[in-house]
Amino acid sequence: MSALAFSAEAFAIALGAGFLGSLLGIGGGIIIVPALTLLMGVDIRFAIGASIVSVVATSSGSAVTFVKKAIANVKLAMILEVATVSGALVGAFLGTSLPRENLYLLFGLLLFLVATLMVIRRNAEDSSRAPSTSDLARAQKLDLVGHYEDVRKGQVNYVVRRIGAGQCASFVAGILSGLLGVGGGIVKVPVMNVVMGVPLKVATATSNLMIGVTAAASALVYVTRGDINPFVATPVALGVLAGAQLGSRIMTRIESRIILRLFVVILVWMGGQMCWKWWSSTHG
Amino acid sequence: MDKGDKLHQIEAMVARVLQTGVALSVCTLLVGWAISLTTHFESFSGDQYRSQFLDLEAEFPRTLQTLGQGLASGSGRAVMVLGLVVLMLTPLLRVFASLIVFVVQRDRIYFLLTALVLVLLGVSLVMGNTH
Repeated sequence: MSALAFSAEAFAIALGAGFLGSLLGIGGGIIIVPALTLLMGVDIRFAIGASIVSVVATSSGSAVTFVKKAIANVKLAMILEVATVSGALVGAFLGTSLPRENLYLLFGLLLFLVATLMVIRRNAEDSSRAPSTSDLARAQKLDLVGHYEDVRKGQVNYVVRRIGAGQCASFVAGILSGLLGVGGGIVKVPVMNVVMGVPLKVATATSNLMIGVTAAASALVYVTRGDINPFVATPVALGVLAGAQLGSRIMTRIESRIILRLFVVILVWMGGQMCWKWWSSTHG
Repeated sequence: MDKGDKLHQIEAMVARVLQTGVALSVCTLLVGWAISLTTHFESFSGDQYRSQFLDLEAEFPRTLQTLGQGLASGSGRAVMVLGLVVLMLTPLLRVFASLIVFVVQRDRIYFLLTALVLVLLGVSLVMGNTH
């Protein structure tokens, strides 16, 4: 295989992952790590390193489009970032002390968890009840009463609720990010949507904005540890950026339910493969 | 000016900062990628290929010092690493831009929160270096 063929394959995988990731509010890392290890034989530490860079790329790349449409909530992002960045530091620290084989198992389990979350995930935007007086008072104090323009529904208003619970979940999302090189959007989006009462589109855009900062914290630890291999990370970062641009452009137009179902099948399959890889490397 | 306008002002500024950082990084990555592809144009046998690109022992700059040396000699790998580092720094710029906006707006709660995020990011740099 030539360097060009390797680069082209990694770029193509990353392009697809970035596109899907942007549509679903995840950094694409959930697809990239298993794809690089299972399809291309890349060491899992390099795959995680390339993934964490691609997570930053997705976030910074598509945030430009999201922010221009004034969907993402910058203040909500900042409140949750305090928790995700702390979590990412804990995760990156844990990652240095774990044997490599266990990363396959952890990642496999993460894929199953993500598939489950996607199945039970629902859009709470229409069913959201009126916020309690204390929630409303807190949201007003923190300037978290927001609105956005929806193509079909016009102006949609929302009040951010249960900030403490959101921060706890964000801390866990941060640990996942630091440990396994994923954005953690898969945890943050449903938490913001279902628990905090944020419309799905705002939650997705805000998550995209946040995960870059979270991933940067872990990426800086990874790069100094030598886990970011430029031969792998460069085509992956460029591919993800291109894919994310495409994804964020059609973001407000398509119903993500169709992609969601297809995605769950892929996730379960990859989860099984990753667990098998762990099993065969520790019992083979 | 009402709150919605102010908020949009923050978001628009943040977007410009991110756009510049990403564009800068993409250019650097493309240059580094092109250099490394032209220097590795030949095909590798399975083993050579693994050790060149995929093994944990693969050679590329891992410290600031080797990065500097690599850049001085025009190595494609080093240019790619530089591009990746620029990309990693874009979110930090975004946080920094938000911090400035919150100072100008005298928004104390969000200034403190943003400052805390920056401090934590600083800790990540120190933590990586001590390993």
